[in-house]
Amino acid sequence: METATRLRKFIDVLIGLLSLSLLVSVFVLFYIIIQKSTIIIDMPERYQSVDLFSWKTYIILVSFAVEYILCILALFYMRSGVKKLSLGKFFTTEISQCFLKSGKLFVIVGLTTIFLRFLADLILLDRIGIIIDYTNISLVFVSVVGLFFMLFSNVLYKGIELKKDNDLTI
Amino acid sequence: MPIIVNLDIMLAKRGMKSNELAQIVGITTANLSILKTGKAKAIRFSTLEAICKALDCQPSDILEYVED
Repeated sequence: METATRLRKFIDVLIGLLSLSLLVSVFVLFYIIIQKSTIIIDMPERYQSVDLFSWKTYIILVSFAVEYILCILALFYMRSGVKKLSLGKFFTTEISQCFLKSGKLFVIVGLTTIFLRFLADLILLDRIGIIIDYTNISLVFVSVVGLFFMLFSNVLYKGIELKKDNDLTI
Repeated sequence: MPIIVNLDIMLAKRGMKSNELAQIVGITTANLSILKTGKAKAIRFSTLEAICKALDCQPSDILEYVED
């Protein structure tokens, strides 16, 4: 299962990059909070007017951090499932459970991040609007991938049932 | 399960042991045990044919339907 091994390596790289990105962001955020009087922050144009040191901003940032962690967790479960597949263990409940959990997390991450972006605009910019941009479309795609994993998990489960019946066919 | 496998009775009638039958039929003793204890989900015609040939009997001698 070379493809599964390659996929696992890609997922490892992705998890590593996301984890590093999260750690660096958290470090920078804490540094900014401590050094708030001396740091010049280069913010995206949309958020130039946002007060970075208000509790509203912190809540939004923490929420996004939680979403980030859930995404890393979803990738971790996906990695576990792919690892078992690469070992040739196709029809086990553990694989089915891994992909089910990963799928559910991806759906949660996709949909709630879209909602969080909407909420961030509402709370930080006092603006109500649905943004149709590349990020939101990507997040919808993430949810679609999550649903696919959940479907894949169901298919694997059916396979497990069939295998059990086949094993008990004399 | 409504289908009962009466292998033990036929084995006793023919004076044959389970492992002997398993060897003749070409299945493992574990699988034969699964069949005898009623845990099997299905039996292939080829296996049933081999069992009937080994025990010199009819399928109805081995399989019995009892309503739940």
